[in-house]
Amino acid sequence: MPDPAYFQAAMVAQLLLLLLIPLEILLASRARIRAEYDMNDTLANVAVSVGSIFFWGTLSWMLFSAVTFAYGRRIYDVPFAAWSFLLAFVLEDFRYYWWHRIGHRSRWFWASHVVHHSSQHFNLSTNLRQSWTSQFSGLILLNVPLAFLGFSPGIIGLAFTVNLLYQFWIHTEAIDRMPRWFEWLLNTPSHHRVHHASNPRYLDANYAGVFMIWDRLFGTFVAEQADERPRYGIVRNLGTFNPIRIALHEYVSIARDLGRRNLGLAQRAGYLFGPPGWSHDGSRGTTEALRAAESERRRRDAPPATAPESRRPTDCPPVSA
Amino acid sequence: MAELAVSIAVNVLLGIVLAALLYRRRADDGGLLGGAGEALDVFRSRFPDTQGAATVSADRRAALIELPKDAGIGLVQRQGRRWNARLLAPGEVRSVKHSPPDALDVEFADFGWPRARIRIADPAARAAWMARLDARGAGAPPRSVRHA
Repeated sequence: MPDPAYFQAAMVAQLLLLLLIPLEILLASRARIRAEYDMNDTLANVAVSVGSIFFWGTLSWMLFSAVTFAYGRRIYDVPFAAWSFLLAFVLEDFRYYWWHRIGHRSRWFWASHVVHHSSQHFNLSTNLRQSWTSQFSGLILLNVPLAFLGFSPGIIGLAFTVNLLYQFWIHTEAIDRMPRWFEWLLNTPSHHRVHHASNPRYLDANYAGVFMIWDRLFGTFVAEQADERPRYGIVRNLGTFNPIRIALHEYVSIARDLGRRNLGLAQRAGYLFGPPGWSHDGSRGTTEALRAAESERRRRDAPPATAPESRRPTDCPPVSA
Repeated sequence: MAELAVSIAVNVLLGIVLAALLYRRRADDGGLLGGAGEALDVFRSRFPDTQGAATVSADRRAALIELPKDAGIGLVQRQGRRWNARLLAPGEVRSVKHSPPDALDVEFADFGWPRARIRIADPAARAAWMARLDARGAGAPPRSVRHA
């Protein structure tokens, strides 16, 4: 088991990271960096975080029970060492990728995760806007395989914590690009701006926690484009800063849809587990539908093609590979 | 439990610090709608290719957009430093009330966007919009076919 000192160090790191939020505000107010804050939005983030911490603290026994149960039936004993922690960290990041991807692609899980995406701003305080219901959405079961393999709950918990701590700094507009190798391998502010954007071309992309290789491997990587600034938020943005509405709005919306009359079982399942934007009559737009409409619009509005030799080499270059 | 209490206390303290830092920036919290053209531009950023006629509210913090061929009503509203745009589908308006002297208080059937206040100074335009908005709710089809 990892020494408790590691967790204490992680706690201290978390507190220090929180101090970066007022620092970002101060530097932005002096025009030293790019960051846009809105008081109501930021206070909503803080209020949502209080609820998130409360529910995480009071319900985390569910996660620990599942992991401990699986660890009791482990097939191997993985000792705590540098190599095993690194291995756990990579596997935990792989778990995070799929947790995140499912959280975006199925409405029941999206109802929990949408909270984090519901701000129309993107700054370090966006980190605070976290789900209240992550413990009982069911996705905690994705933590079980690592414990079953033989990684102790302590190693898993530490890898999970370090993963989340890494993700703090990528919620910012203050950093444009990291070095090319860094952008290729790791999650960066640029990649995460795309992830938080609601522009059709950026929707449902860049799910990685730390390593971008998962997105590149599974076809979900989208680079930030110089000609299209991310528009943060969700497709149907909220008209409220009330933390309870922010935390629960999608559940209420699901309940309304399930309460419709004259729907079959498959249609109800579609409203519950289908992709966000799915509807039984096609009256709403899924990511695929929004992207298709956007592509069609771009194709229609594009100027007539010119001969390759007359095209300037700098026309709309992608910012990164 | 002690750690939980400390974490919550730290966040509350952080909230107070951030509120203090951001309070003085609140006065210049963004622009107002310059006119009907700008309202349409905001709406088109969410719903491209929209054609219609916009009525900008008296405080320039909202606009109602009459879409052609009974395509519905568009709404643009200030949300902090950002603009929200919404296409009001049948059944989305729960109620509309006139709030003297010049405001329409609209309640939506949307937990995530519960209400909007739209100030329209011209009494005739206000009455017309009230009727149109009311038709989006009371005149809506029954729940089972609202999106048909």
